[in-house]
Amino acid sequence: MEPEMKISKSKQGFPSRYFRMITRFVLATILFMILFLPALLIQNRKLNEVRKQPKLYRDSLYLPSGKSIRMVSVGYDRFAADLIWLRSIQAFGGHWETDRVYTPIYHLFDIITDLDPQFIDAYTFGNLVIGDEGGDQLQGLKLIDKGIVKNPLKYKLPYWGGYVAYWQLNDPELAKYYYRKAIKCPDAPSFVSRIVAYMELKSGRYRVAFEKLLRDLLEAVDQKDDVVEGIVKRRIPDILIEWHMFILRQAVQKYYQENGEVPDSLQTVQKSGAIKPYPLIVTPVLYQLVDQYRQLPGKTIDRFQSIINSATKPNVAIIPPHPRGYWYGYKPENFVRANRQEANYIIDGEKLTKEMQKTLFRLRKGIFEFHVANGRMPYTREEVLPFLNDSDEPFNGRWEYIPALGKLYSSSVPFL
Amino acid sequence: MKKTLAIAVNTFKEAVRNRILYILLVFALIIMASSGIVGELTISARDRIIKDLGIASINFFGLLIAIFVGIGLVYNELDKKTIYTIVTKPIDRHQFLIGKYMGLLLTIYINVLIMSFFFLAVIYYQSYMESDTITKALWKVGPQGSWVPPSGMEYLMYYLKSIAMSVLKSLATFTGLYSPEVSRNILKVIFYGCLELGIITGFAILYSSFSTPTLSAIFTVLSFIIGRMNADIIIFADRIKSKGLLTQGARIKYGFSWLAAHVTPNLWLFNKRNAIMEDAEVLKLDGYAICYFVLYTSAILFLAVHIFRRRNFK
Repeated sequence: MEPEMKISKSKQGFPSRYFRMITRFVLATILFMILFLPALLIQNRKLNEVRKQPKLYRDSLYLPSGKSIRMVSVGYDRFAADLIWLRSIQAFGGHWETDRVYTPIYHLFDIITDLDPQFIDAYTFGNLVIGDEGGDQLQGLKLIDKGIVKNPLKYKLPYWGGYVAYWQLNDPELAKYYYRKAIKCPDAPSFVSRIVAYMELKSGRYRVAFEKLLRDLLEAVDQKDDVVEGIVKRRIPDILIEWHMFILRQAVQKYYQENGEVPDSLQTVQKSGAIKPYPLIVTPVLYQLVDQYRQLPGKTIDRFQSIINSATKPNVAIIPPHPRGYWYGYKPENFVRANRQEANYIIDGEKLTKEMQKTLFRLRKGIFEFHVANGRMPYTREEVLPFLNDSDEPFNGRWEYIPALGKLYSSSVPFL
Repeated sequence: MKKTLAIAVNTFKEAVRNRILYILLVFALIIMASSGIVGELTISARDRIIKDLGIASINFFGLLIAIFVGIGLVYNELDKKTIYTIVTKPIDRHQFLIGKYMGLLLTIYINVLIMSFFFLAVIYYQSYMESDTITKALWKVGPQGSWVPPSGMEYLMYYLKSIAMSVLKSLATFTGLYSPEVSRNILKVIFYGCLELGIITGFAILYSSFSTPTLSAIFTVLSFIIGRMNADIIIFADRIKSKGLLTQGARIKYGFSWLAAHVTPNLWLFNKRNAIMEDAEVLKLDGYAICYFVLYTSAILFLAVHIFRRRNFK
């Protein structure tokens, strides 16, 4: 029997082998496409659905409480806090770009500060996000309060608290509470105490504000810090001016209540005894004493009480002298027409002079230009400044014009 | 002592040949090098993140080396029967085990040293890469008073100089010649981390003296976790007590927690990581922690030797 001829695979025709391979490949591809294309279509449809939805930041990270994470982090709590900190920044960015709702991020900052209570940036940035950006200042302050409890010696936290309380919540009392905490911290820079002085000033505690600034001045002298000394020396007269104006306003009101008529001048008020006795700080004496003690050995701050006693005249009931050598003005018409608690019927001579200087400079420039253009001075005020009325005079005075000299001045500050 | 040292040196040589050591080391160095990039993701506290990442990496990878290299040290000797060539020599079993421990500790500490050196260099390098520093160093005022940007070559030279200076500064910090504010307490924190690793290595040796590498790894990791949670365990015990030990169950729970808190290692003693904060005070030597390390490790090794002595190698 003749053996059957067997053709091995390797001996098959070259084209047929490749034909079979290609056929298999094509069939496999078609089968794959049949299965995959519908899946692709479904996927595409779902993606389009997602695209059509309003953009919302969804934090996919669920985090339990800080205490639980602290347990799980087995000692790498600082590192865990850092990771969540990075996450919180991303979450802030995500919400900022979409819905701008930041309340959910509070939880992240809460966890971070549980994991690392000394992470000061987490408190301040958290407060900024929740309070400043998110508008929930009380929630932001909650974070700050938590930080203050855990870091009682860090000035930054109460300092931020004071900022939020004053500028955002308009609560000077709360702001003072925070700033007083800040000032007690050993790392508090000197400007914090000046903020406290400002707060005291705004809440009418002039004497406290002045004493705070005087302490700053003496400390600056002891530390030979000329910059701070200069700043404080400029601020002390500001406080005294506000204090004096407050005293004068009270006196005018008292006069009005007692006599039933508006006083015509501050001298009348003084003569009637309506000025309540007050301690007068004599600034030239004050600065002289500071300079004297500066030369002596020892710290000037230790002589605080002696300086303040020597520079103060107790129980004075006169119109206070302006600490910068100007004067205090009085406008009876402002007292009548305005809210008597806040109106500008007592005027700071310095402020008045400076503002008037600017106004007169502008108006006189017009007269000068007229003179250059026409070769003569204007005959009347209206010729050069037709729209200038007496009502434009910032302190209710009158504009006076002398044609012969071509000089314009104001009755409020005639010497300018 | 000579014999113990000989085994320690041999163990070190053996560990150095272990590929996993290099993988871990390279991985740690990559993570530390990338800390600058991670720092870019934050809006503040950049220095803090770089430092935290570095310290955590050194500690974590040191721990991994202790576990992965430590657990196989004794087991491999038994598995490959190489222990017979040692025990037949006039070497006591305690010398063998302590030698193994010291060798492994030497390996870990050399790795920590390399990582710390690299970490300090990264910190110094980051300070060179701050935009203000670059601007001050490279930007110049031109003839018309405008700023002239540096050329590409100037940038390249600056980067190379920064790398060289960072390495030199790192070296100077190690030798105590240079101790700037930015790296204050870092070496001390790493030192306490090394003490912690010493205890964990002791546990790795203890477990590997009587069990398989897998079990040893699990036990060592658990010891580390319990050690780090030691303070929480005693708080838990106190909480049970504060509710009143009225039932038998409560009493057992309290007793067990109290015992666990006292027997397990207190690794919190070596956690000084808060000292790397900007305004932290200079870290003082904690004699209590050092004494605790010496005593606790000795006790662990004593236990390991005791178990190992009773072991039959047949």
